[in-house]
Amino acid sequence: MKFNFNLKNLFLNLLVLVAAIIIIFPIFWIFLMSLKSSAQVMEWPPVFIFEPTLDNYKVLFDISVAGSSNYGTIRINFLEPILNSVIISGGAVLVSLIIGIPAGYILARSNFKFKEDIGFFILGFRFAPLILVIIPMFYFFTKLGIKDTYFGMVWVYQVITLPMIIWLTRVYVEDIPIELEEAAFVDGASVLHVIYKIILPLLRPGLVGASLLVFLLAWHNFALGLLLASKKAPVTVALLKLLNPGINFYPVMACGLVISMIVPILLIFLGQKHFVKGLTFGAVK
Amino acid sequence: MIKQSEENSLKNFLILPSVLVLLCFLFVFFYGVYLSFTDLKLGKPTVNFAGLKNYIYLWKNPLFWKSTKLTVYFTLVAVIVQAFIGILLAKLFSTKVFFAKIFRPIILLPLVLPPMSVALMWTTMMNPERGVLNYFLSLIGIEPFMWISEYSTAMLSVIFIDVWTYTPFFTLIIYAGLLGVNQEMKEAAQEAGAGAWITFWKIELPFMMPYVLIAAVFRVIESFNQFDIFIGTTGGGPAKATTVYSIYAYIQSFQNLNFGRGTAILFVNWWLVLIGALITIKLYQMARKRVS
Amino acid sequence: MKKIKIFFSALLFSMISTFALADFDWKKYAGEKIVFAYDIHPYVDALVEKLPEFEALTGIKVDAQIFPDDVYWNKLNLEITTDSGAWDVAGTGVQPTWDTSVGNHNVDLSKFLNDPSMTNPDYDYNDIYPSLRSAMTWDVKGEEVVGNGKGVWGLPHSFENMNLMYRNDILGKHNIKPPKTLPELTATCKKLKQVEPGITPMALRGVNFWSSVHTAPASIAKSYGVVDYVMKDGKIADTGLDSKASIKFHKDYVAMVKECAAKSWPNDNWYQVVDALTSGNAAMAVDANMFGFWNNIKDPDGKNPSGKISFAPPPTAPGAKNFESNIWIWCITMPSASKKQGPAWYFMQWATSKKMVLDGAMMGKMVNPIRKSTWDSADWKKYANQPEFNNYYDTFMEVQDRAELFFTPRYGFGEAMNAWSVAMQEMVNGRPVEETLKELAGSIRAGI
Repeated sequence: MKFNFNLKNLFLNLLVLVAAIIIIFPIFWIFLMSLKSSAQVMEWPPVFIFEPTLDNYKVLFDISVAGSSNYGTIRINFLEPILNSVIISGGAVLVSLIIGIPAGYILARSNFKFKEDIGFFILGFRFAPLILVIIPMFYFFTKLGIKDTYFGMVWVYQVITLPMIIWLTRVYVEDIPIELEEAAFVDGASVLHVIYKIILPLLRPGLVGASLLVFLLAWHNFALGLLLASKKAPVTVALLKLLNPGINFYPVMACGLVISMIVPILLIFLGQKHFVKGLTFGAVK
Repeated sequence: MIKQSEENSLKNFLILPSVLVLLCFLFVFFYGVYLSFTDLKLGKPTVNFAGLKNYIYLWKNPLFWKSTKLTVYFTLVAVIVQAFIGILLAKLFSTKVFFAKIFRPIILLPLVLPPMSVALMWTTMMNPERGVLNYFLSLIGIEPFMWISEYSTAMLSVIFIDVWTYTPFFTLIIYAGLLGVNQEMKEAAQEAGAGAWITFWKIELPFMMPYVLIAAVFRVIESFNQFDIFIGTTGGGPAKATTVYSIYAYIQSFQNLNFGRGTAILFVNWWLVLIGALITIKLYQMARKRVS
Repeated sequence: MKKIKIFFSALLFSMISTFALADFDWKKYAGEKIVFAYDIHPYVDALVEKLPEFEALTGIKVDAQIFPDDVYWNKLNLEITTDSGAWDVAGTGVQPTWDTSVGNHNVDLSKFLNDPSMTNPDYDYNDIYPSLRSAMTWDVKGEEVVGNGKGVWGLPHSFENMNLMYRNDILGKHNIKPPKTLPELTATCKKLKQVEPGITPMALRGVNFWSSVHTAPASIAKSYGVVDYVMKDGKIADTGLDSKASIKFHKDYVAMVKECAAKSWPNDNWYQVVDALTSGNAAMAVDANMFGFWNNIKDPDGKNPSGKISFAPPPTAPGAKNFESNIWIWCITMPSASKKQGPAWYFMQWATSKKMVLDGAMMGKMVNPIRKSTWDSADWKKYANQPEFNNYYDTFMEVQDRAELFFTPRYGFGEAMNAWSVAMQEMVNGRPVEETLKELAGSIRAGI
């Protein structure tokens, strides 16, 4: 019986290991690829052990180091799209926090006509087909002249970040006992005072986690940047441009992939426990 | 006291900035719907109201029907496979074996990577001539596989990528649900002589179902709108093998400059999303009823 | 020595511009900054390399934004048709400009060309080959493009005609002659596969975008008698893509693709064609002739298969009297939304000037040159006839006699030709040729 148990244990361990390898291997392989020369990528069978080189990262970041080929010179400065992504995603989260926290608080605490309708209206944006908004948005952006500006991008990213922030604030506020606020109101404090001086400190850990997650979702976005930006395009759009030149250029693209993936991996280490809650809009607590 | 209630009604206006921002998007959405009834073509100077012309064009176009089938097929297959593997993984990682504890955090990994990065990552690995996947296949004696480069295998390969990326989403949610399974109920069932399978089938699975379905709601919606992974792998090809709605609309709007037609496709897609989501929510409500 | 030469020519240049009657002044726009967009391409590499000369000459700063092919064309369409104003000069071709000139999104350059204060007296527009000039000349009437007009919508910058190119080392080794007809090409591939199983017989574009039909398919189809549009009384009346000739051509072409092309054909673009010729992964290609030229250049690190690419006219229909060759002209155009049209025009005339065209050709990059004066120059003749270029020069001359634009000027080029490229993929994938072409023609007819 005991032996049997151990066998089962071993088997389960093995299964977990296989699952873990399937998840980790692709990422590991891309990391290896980013250290290969283009000749090594062309080798068959693929090489696992080789002398690593950082040249690809140089091509990716140093505009004076060109990826050269018989069909033209490719110069990249990947720092630009990284900065764009940070500015756009960070800016979008910040704006969402500023206007979204009071809204989330009201939804949690106030009672008024249509409150639930407004709540679901906001939640509904989680389900909005983004690409349907993009086509007319493209038209508007062009007319308003805010295409390819940080202002325009931060604004349009609200469609991703704002509903999340409002809804998560609401979920978190509902977890806080109401007595504290009531005491403050009796003392004659204003709403904004209550929100910023009493609620916010209590919300901070939750909101930090939520902001990290929302930043991450903004970092993921590709379609908005593809069509509404050019010089201000995010990392995801810059990555696609590295695909076109083909296998020779895979290692350089791999460097870009590694960078685009490191950021989220770091973020989840910081905010892991808020993840499930955030991804499901608090549907699973 | 009067001041209090005045402020009370005033404070509700704090919700206004957010609502206004989101109303703008709603307006843009309706403007998109309006465009689908026009003949707007980028580059042409005039825009005319075209009534149902775009929709009639789509109705008569075989590619539209093919695209419809592909979109539904992609969503159904991907979500069902993800739910199935998601359940298995959740069960596996909820066993208290050693590796399960160590590796639990990495389940998150595919989910936090940008979908575009994931798509490009698999594109390099699926390269028919130099891809590492074909190398692994060759180790067990399987001929080179074409993956995303051939008509017959392209859609399945994209589904494979989608499954790799989003199965953890199911796993996470189901895992959270499993933690709530009443230990006493399980033990009672086992004492009553029910085997592990019966316990799973009769107690755990019904309990899990609402969680599976809530995850499915999200995934159904996002799969209908999946764009990044298709652009990063097949771009809708080869031939029309993976031209789902989002890609079809993208090509119509931005390659052929036919904005009217592109928005019409997406408006149809929006209805599909709605129907798909409503069906899944209905299932969710049924499953919840069963549990309680 | 060379430096002195440049110095003197610059001096001469400035003297001419100062003393000429019209008060053309290169420095008129000093201090301005313009944005120039282009595909990743040796043509633009040549310009970028010489940019310091332009900046010294005019004091205008140029920001060259260069995109990969798959991204570039969509971007170009959007930037120009939405009048974004982000670009002041854009590289493009004749056909895409049909789509963007309607609605006045491009500047008609004749107003600059005819203005002696804006165009330097040494420019000599008529030195550019007449066929290239006329390809970029048409009128926009309402929402239609009408050929042979007066509007000049872009300046040719470099151009290509379609050739059969082959690795003479591989074909020579097995004593295989370059094929003359499309079925012969298919047979050659079959033979190559037997004797050289390690390589793909042919490098071929297949992406679902018009760029894959304007090279080999358009050139060979023409010799089968295929036309894109049937004209009646000077107007487009019908498409010719489901004609008998077209069905015959597509059957042969699809058989060829199946026999010759790489597995990755549906994803391959011109970058992959150049690469395959460089690496010797492919033995032949029917594509732009300068792909062979670039590969034949002697490079210091010996990566190029210098001297190993030979040229021949494109294959024909069986029994056809003549071969046909489509041309592709890279042009630079000016979006109407540009707020810096003056400096943009200065850049354009510099980029297509006698000196730049010759310099670019001598760098081995801007090939084939667009100007008669370049082809007449002893320097270029000597350079292009070096042994490593094999029969590039003679084949160019032979082909250029018959080279002609396959496409009929029309708004809606992109949409129709993209559909053709997708249909091609479907047929190669096994869908019956007649059925596919009927559907394709139906969708094109709906737009006429």
